[in-house]
This record gives sequence, C-alpha cells and structure tokens, in this order.
Amino acid sequence: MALAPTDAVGPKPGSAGVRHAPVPSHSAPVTPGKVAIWLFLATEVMFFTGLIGSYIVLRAGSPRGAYSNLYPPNTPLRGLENSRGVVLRSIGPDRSKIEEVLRSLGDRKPDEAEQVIAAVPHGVVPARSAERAEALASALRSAGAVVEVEPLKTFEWPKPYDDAVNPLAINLTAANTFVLICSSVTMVLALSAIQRGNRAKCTLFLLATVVIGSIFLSVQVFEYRQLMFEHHYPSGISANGHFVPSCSLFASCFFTMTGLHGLHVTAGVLALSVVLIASIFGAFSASNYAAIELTGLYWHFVDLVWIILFTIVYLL
Amino acid sequence: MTDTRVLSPSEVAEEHQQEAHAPYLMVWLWLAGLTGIEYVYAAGLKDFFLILLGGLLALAAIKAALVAWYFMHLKFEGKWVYLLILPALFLAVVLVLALIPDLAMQPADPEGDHVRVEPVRSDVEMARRIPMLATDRPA
Repeated sequence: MALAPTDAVGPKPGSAGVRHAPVPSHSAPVTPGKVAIWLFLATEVMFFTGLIGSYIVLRAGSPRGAYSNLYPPNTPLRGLENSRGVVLRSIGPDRSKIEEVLRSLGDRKPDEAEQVIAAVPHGVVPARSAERAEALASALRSAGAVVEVEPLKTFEWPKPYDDAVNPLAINLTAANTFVLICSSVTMVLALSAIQRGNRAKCTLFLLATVVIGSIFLSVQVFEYRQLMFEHHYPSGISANGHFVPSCSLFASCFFTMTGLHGLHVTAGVLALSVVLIASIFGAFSASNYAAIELTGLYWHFVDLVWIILFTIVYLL
Repeated sequence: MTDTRVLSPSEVAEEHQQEAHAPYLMVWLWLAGLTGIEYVYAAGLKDFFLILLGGLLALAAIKAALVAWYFMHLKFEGKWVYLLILPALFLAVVLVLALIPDLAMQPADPEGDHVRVEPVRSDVEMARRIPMLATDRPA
C-alpha cells in the first residue's frame, strides 16, 4: 500500500486525500536505464524462446525408439525387438573373472568389457535374444556378479530418474536451483538496503550474491565434468559411456540450453563483481543506486529462466 | 548510475517506501517451499507424464511469476513494462506453436506400436524427413 513519506506525522482520520489508495499513477518512476534493461530483457525472452522452443519442438517430434534402455540413442531397433539386457549391478569379488566372461562374447568391441564394468551398478550388456541373455547372466552369476535381465524398453525422450537412459543428477541440481534462488534474494536485499541508505549492508548482500552465484556456477561445472568425463554411463545413455553433446539429441539440447544459461550467469557474476567493487568504494547512496537496480533486474531474469529450465530439462 | 538524478526527492522517497519494504523473505520462503514441492511431485509422479507436465509447469509458472512480481518489481512498475514484455511472450508462444506441426505432428504410424519408426541418425536424414529442409526432395 502506497503511503505518503510523511506518514509518520500521521494524517487525521477523514482528512481527504492524504492517505490514498494505490493507483496507477503511483507506480515506480520510469528512468531511461530501466526502460533500456527491460527492452534488453524482452530480447532475452526471444533468445531463450529460440532455445526452449526448439527443445519443445524437437522433443515433441522425437520418435518412439529414439532412446532405449539397452542400445545407444538412435540405434535402429528393427529386428532387435526381442532383445534382453543383462544389467550388471555388482561385479562381486573377482573383477578379472567378470572381464573374462565379457571378453568371451565374440561380437563385442575390445573395450566394451571395461565400459560395462565402469558403469556398474548400471552396466548394461544387450543380447539379441532371451536365451543368449540368460546364458550370459548365468555365466556372470557363477563368476560372482549380481545381475538382472531386463526386456527392451523404448522411449521417445530420456525419462527422468531412469538411470538406464537419463544421466542427469536431479538431487544435485534441485539443491543448486535453491542456491540460485537464494542469490536472487540477497540481490533484492542489497537493493533494499541501499534504498534505505545502508551502504555497508548493501555491500555485504552484493558480496553474498556474487559468492552464491559463483557457487551455482561451480556446481554446474562439476556437473558437466561428471557428465562428460568422469562418470561412466550405460549404453542407453551414450555409446562410449560419456554424456557429451554429440551422443544424442537430448544431450545436445541439454548442453546448449544449460550452457548458454551458464554463460548468462557468468556475465551476471562479472557485472555484479563490478557493482560490488563500486559499492565497496562508496559509489552508491539512497539517491543513486541505478546500477544495482539494473544489474539486479538482469540477475533475477537469469534466475527466472533457470526455474523454467530446471523444470523442463531435468524434471520432465 | 546517473538515472536517479532526474527524480524529484519525493519520487525517490516514494519508491523507497514501496520497494524497500516488500516482503522479500516471505517470497523466499515461498520459492523454497515450491521448489521442495516440485522436487517431491516430480519424484512421486514420474510415471504419469501428463499429470507431471501440468503440475510442474504450473509450479514453475508460479515461481517465475513470484520472481518477476516481487524481485523484478513488476508490482511497482507502470504499464510500459508490459508493453515491452507481453509482445515478446506472445511471439514466444507463436514461434513454438508455428513450429510444432513441422516436427511433432508427423503422420501416424498405421500399424500402431509394433512397427517402430526408424530413429533419425544424422542431420541429413533429419532434413530428408522434414520436406521443408530437404535439398534433394523428389520432384
């Protein structure tokens, strides 16, 4: 509710026109900088629409069978409908015996045994028929492994939480989403502090925003490292065991969207660092805080985009 | 940085009165709570795609609206902001709806689920499937 600044003195009850209801004429003042940043954000809406819209359309057009729990993305599945997958949950005490069994399968590539073992507890060996799958399973069991046999399941798009087709770490990213939301709160508190003339508090909240934003970026870099280099995934996710942009349409969509969002976060952290340094040197006051306000608008927009990206890329 | 110098002292004071006292911590609690609900909802209903889609999009829209309304101060801005944002949002929807038929509404498979559609293996094959993109389309 809009109150006149002199409200502390207290208008007399019934004195007309002193205490007024919020009306459109009392909206925040329009400054050139604010118009410019909103215009920029409108173009950013179209930028992310290009990305998110392409994702929606490509995903909606992805045919059933593009992903499966046994074969790498986009493997032609005609003739493979009766496949079974032997899923290696644990290799047991003797790794060399398991390797020996896996290497004895004649039609495999030489490094496939290592790949399958590296992906345990989701190491998948596809077999063309139930008989072959059962034979392999019992050979692995007698070598001390824990295995399951699964039928072929096909998907239009990798299903969240299904470790056979989707590598994304939802728990980590949900926590990271919360981290980014917290940085938006510290940002708005920094603006609120300087509007009240509290420079020290404003600087501290700006520092918190830069730190929390950097934490978000670090977690994302960690996640990329896990996906692309460190972790080994089963064959349903990637042919070579690593989730890299070239391994599927899902992967290239994921890296394009989260990567370009990450660049926006990076730009935001850099801009906020400049504002933070200016704030440390006393550049802002209760009547001069436009840089904080405008950088904040950009930062909140980046947070808003992440809220949408997290939902549609990770959870759906 | 010089923007606020064009404001009169009473305008500045009024902006402070409104913006500096908005319920930011309450909004933060809501955003945190909604993120938690989203997480549990997604884990619990992962096998029901349409319920998942509707619920999660609604939750994401509420969260995005909270950020825009309180943190981006839409609550305090005049109509001019909407003149910038609404056309962009409208065009965003049009762009997606206009592209959906090209890729997502391919002819139905006459024999049902038993015959699988060959997956797309390369950009060239993708181009062949989408007549608009094809360069070697039959006459």
